[in-house]
Parts: sequence; C-alpha cells; structure tokens
Amino acid sequence: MTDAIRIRAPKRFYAGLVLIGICLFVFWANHGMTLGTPRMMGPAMFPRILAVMIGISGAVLVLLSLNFDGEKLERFSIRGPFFVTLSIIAFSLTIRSMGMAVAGMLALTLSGFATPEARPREVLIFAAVMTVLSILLFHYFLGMSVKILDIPGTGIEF
Amino acid sequence: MGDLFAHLAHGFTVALSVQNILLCFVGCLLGTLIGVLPGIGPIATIAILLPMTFGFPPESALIMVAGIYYGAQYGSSTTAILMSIPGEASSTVTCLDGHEMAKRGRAGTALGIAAIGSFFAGTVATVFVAALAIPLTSVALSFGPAEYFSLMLMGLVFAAALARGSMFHALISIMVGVLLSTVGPDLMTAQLRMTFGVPQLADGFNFAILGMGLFGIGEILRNLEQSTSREVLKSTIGRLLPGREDLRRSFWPMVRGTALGGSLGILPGNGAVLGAFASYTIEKKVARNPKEFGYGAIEGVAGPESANNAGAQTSFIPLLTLGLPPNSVMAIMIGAMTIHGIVPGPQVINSNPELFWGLIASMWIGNLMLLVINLPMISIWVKLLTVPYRLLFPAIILFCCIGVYSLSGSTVDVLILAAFGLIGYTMWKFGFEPAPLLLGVVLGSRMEEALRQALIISRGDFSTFVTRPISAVLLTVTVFLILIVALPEIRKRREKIFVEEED
Repeated sequence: MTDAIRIRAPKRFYAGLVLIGICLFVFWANHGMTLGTPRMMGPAMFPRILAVMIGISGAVLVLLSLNFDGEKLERFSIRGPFFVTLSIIAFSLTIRSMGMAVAGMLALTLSGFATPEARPREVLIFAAVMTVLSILLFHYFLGMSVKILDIPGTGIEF
Repeated sequence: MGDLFAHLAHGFTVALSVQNILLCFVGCLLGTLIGVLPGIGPIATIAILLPMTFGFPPESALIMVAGIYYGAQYGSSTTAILMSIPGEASSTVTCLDGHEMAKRGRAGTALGIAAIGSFFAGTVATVFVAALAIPLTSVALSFGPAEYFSLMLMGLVFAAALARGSMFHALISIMVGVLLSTVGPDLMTAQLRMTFGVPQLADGFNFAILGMGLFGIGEILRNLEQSTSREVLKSTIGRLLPGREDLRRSFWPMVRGTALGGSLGILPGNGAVLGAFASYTIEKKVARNPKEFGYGAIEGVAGPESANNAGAQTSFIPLLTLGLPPNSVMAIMIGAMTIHGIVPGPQVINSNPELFWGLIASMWIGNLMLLVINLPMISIWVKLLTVPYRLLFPAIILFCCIGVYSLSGSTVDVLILAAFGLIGYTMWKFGFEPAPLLLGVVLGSRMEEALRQALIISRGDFSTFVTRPISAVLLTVTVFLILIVALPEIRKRREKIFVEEED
C-alpha cells in the first residue's frame, strides 16, 4: 500500500467518475434556480440534494476502487450499440416525412446488421416481410394514424 | 363479506363484457407469445406491447395490460422449464427442478403443474386482493404527506435490498432515477427544470419510453454481446396433465407457495421475488425425500410457481390502494394508468370503481385463460423457442420505435428511446441494474411532492418524520433493513482486508 495511487477496481472507479460527473452536471444545469428553505423548498432544492447524494456515492466508489481490488471494466462493444442506435435514429428521421414503409425498412435493415451473425440476403427479405406485416398490424388493424409511404417529389403517397 | 362478493360481482360484470374478455384473451396470448421468446422478460414484454393498448378505454386497456403480464410471466416459466433460461429473477428457481423434469421427458407435466399451480394461486390471491382492498384503502387515506414520504422511502430501500447485485449500487440506481424524475416542471412554481429548451421534456420523461429504452432496447444490446448459443430441449414434451400421484404431491406445496408468495407480494418493496425462493427452500425442508430436489422433484416446480403467481397478483395491492408500484412491472402499470389520465392512489376505488373491481376480476379471468390457452398451445410455444435471435431483435426494435412514435407522434421521443437504450447498456457495463432506476423515476416526483408538503405543514421542521408514529415506524423498519443488508457486506469486506494484510 505504499506505492503511488493505483486504480485497483477500474469498473468501480469509472462508475464513480460518471456519478460525480452527473452531480456536477446537475449543479451546472440548475444554476440560478431558487434553492429555497426547508420550509418552502424552491425548484432547485430536491434535485440538488439528490445530486449531492449521488456525488458522495460516486466519491465513495472512487475511494473504494483505489483501496480494494475489483473487477475490470469490460470492453464496450461497438457494432451492436452503433447499428441499433443508428436504426432508431433513421426511423425517427424518416417516419414522419416518408412513412412507415421507408422507416420500417430502414430500421429493420440497419438493426439487422447489429449482430456479426447477420446474413445480408436474409436481413433484406426479413425486413421487407416485417415491414409489410407491421403496416398491416399497426395501420390497418390497430388503426394508427401514420403515413404508409410518401416519397417527396415523386407524388407517390399513400 | 357480503360486500366483498357484491364488489367482485360488479367487477365481473365489467370484466366479462365481450370486448374486455377478448382483450384479456389477446393480452394473455400476446404476452405469452413475446414472453416465451428467449431473452425477453416480462418487463420488456409489457413495455413492447403497451402501445397497443392505448386506443382502448382505460379499464379495457388495463385489463389487457394485466393479461399481457400474466402471459409474459407464464412465458418466462416456459423458457425456464424447457431451456433453463429464466425470463425474470423469480423463475430462476423453476429452472432447477423444472428443467430437470424436462430432461427426464416430463416437460409436459412440469408445464402442466406450473399452469395449474399458477391458476390455484391466482384464484386464492384474487379473493385476497379484493378482501384487502377496502381496509387498506382506508388506511392509505389516513396517511399524510410525511407518512407517504416514509412509506415510499421504505419501499425503495426494500426494492434496493432485494435487487440483484449490491445494495449500494441499487440505491445509486434509485437516486439517479429520482433525479431523472425532477426533469420537467417544478411542482409548485411550474418553472421548467433541466429541460434544456426541449419542448418534449416539458412534461418530464415518459415512463413508458424509459421502460422500453432501458428494458426493450437495453436488453437487446446486452443480449447481442452474450453468446447466442441456446439449447432447446430435444426430448419429447410428454403428457401434459399431471397424474393423480403428481397432484397429490403438489397440493400442499401449492397451498404453502400461495400463502408465502401472496403475503410477501404485498410488501411495498419487490417482495414477490422472495416468494419463489422462500417456497423452494421450505419445500426442500419439509419434503419426505429432500434428495430428489435438484433432480426433478415436482414439489420444486409446484410450490415456487404458485408463490410466483400469487406474488404477482398481490403486488397489485400497493399499486391499487396506495398508488405505489412495488416493482418495475407495476411501475409500467402506473405509466399505463397515467397515460389514460388516472392518477393511481387510494382515490381510484371511489373515483373509478369499474376500473378497480374490473381489474381485480380480470385477474382471475386472466389466470383461467392462461390455463385454457397455454396447455393446448404448448407445442406452438416450443416452436417459437427455435426462432433465431438475429431475426427477433430487429423486429423488437421496430415495435419499440412504432410504439413510442404512436404515443404522441413525436420523433424526439424516438430519439429519447435510443438514448435510454444506450444508458441501459452502459449501466449494465458498470454493474448497475436498470429496474431500480425505473422505480425511482416513477416514485420520484411523488416523493418530492410529499417531502415538500410535509415540510410546509411542519414549518420546515424535519422532526415531523420521526414524531408522527406511523412515519417513525416506517423509517425504523427502513434503517433496520439497511443495517441487516449492509452489515454482512461490510464485515465481508473487512475480512478481505485482514486476509490481504496477512499475505
């Protein structure tokens, strides 16, 4: 224990740092808001109490991680989160302007590649089938008011 | 007593309308269908299917959600028995002997006794819920803000104590959840907090979106990383209906399981989880042949499955009477109620009696349907287990997207869904569970409200929480609970230090 400070539990250490970050963020986001008194709490009081508690917990985790051995932080995978997030963003960007046919197709195809087991042809066929099925289910069966297909500039619109 | 049956009868007239029966049926069916898919637990199932219920009147929608819940739970027992993959914590126990029975060619009997046990437990628990509803509601009405605050605090600490992994981590999850609940308008001044000018945040985060993000999308990101090899049972299912000997051996385990699960389920923390474990332990203790346990003892399936279902049922009690969700499934139920403009709490029983008693009656109908749907359809569920995950998850993502978009037609909400998917994944990487967070979000704003009201009444004096007797008792229980859970953990850590120093 005489050597320099060493991170002995990386997973805990970084979790603690994130929590301290959340605490500071809340203080920054709530600056200028009324704190109030216990008798008449202002809007900033409750969030700030929580932020302090979260910050202290984060500090405890950091201290623990410097003194006791613990788990390593596993690597974050890139492929899964990347394609899944991309597919949801694509859906949100196209659903209103281009309709469910485009948004569904995009979401299914992009997310299909989130796994290394993806087979391109299968992904496309499955995406087409599922898009048709979900249009039938949500638009026709459940009566959701959402455009089916609208390609701007071509006059194609359902 | 007469009142009880009059109320139940009233409930049945609501629940037995053609539309509601149909919705309950569809709910159970869809719940089982999604719940049986490997890697999708009951919370994710409800979150995915929730948007389908929005178009119906409130009581029908809630009846359907309840149906989905029962179906999803049964679905997770099915995967536990056939593949040894528990869909949720409480069916972990079912894996032990249920899967052993399946390996011995008695999968059908295990599934059968699980359904029968669940039905038995559900029937008893329905009457129990109905009987306790009125007295508990009147207790709840006598609660002031100080009592409410202490009760919610106790509930959250209970939930943290029973969460998987360390209690400290669970408490942190809860605090972050409570913090998230403060996003949106301030309760008294309506000043916007931490919305950063995003109009979609002006009402705070929507639980349904949060649930879908953390559990629906987050679970997918988790599963994508873990190995996908899944072993589906090769041997035959065998006969479904348990024989006379099986029934005789299962009867008392079912009764004990129901009593245990039912009483633990009322706890404001996630007590229902304990039921199945407690039941398994007791059955092993009282069994004439304890050595059979772990090698396909039918008592080890009948008891925990009954406890599980009884707990699932009675966990509605804190929700319906106090408006406090004891676990994340009930948290999503609150989301469903608020979307329909119903504020859960003791007033619901008087303001929406149709909804209240209809929901209770539908519990029993839902259980009956599980029995009717599931036993004949088991071979279909088994086929579903073989659908590869690489096809499943894109469909789930699409359903979540469409579901969120259908809530209010907002594309920003869809982006929030993606963000919470990533948050759920990151939390998992850091060793935090998302379930306590969701509970914190749901209870957070009501805790703040109770805290502020209590302090206004007491003129800023914090001692109000310990001088009011009920509140003091609740806080004492909370402190004891923390000590009971925390002390062994600390002692373990100290022992570790001593061991290290000896090296």
